[in-house]
Amino acid sequence: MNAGMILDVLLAGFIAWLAFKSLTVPDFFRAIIFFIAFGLGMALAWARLVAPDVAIAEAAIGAGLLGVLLIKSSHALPEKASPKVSLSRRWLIGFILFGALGGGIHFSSLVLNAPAAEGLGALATKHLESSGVEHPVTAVLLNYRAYDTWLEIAVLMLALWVILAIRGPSAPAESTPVTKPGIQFRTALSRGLVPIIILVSGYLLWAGKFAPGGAFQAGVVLAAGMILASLGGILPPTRWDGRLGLILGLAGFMAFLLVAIFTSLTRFTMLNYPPTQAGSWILFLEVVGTLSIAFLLFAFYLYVVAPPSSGQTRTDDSATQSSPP
Amino acid sequence: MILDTLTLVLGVAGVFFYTAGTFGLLRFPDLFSRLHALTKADNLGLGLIAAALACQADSLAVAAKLGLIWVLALVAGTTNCYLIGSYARRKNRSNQEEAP
Repeated sequence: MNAGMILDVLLAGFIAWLAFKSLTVPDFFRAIIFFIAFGLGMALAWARLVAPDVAIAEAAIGAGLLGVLLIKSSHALPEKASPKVSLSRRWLIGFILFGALGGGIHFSSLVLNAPAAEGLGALATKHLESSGVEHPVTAVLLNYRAYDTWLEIAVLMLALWVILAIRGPSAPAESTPVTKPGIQFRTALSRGLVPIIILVSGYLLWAGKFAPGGAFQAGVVLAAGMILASLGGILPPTRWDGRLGLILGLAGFMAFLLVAIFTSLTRFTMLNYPPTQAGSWILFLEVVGTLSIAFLLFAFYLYVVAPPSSGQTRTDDSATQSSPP
Repeated sequence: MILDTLTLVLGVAGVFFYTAGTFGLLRFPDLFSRLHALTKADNLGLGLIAAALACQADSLAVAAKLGLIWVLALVAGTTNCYLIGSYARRKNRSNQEEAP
């Protein structure tokens, strides 16, 4: 029983407690805060499992972006959920049973001396030279299983279409008016942080070749930068649901589609890059994918909640209400 | 050897400050004093822990990156503290104006 195992047990218990609280707390805003903390706890868990790519993605998407989306949509929900005490007791029993089941499976596998699963890690690293990148996770995401990444971008696109369909005819472009001192501070912060965020996103995109990183992580960081810029009021008031949005939103999917068509015709296997040029093809797909993912996630934030009533531009009150208290 | 003891000392000091900040978060009566405890104590704790990890870094670049992380966390924490505090102050003021 070394320090690492104690840390893991404490972390697992902490994550379970955060999840339980976020499900049973009657106040929606507190539940969202617990959920954000849960996301960060999950990122720590992934880091403990030596999966830094997933940890970065979990911290950025699960904690960061989802938190922002939930907070933004929380003011469209009723003030407090009805406090159901019996519901929290049911959740507690569920957590204990599930924890017992999981712990039982884990310890029984130890007792039965089950052989450690081989996994596909050896196979992934064996073909790394011909995959075009030097990091096995990026090779899996963009070469061996590029089809899955393509479909993930398609899922993001579908989600945005559903959001826009539910929202209805578009209202004027949303931008926070810069009038009150608090909002000016936000502007100063955006001006300082957004360039750094763009740099970090570009670095993550480039580092995907040899280190944890890649298109999704870079795209999410860039989306966070765009959200920060929009909150600080420094984004130009373009209409993101016009032609620019259409191009950016479709670009990732179309890039994969073009590559798939080209490789199907010339190499008779879809998404089978020529081994010598695989690196540049992957870089092209990653760059377009990053821009597309960043725009799609930013558009989630912009359009997830309809404005108070169509025809009314956002007043100062709604601006302060939608910023987190 | 000396780097290891430095890591230990700085790490323990950082954890102490974090614990103090958490106690302040849990026990202080007012939103503003809780914000004060969170930002001051936690930022200092993070700085000490980053310094402790920088002693174990392989190169100066890694230590500089840890320092950059600390600066970014400072910026984020300060901004959040200011925004929360100014919103709470505005809400207090509007509540007082509505009361009579």
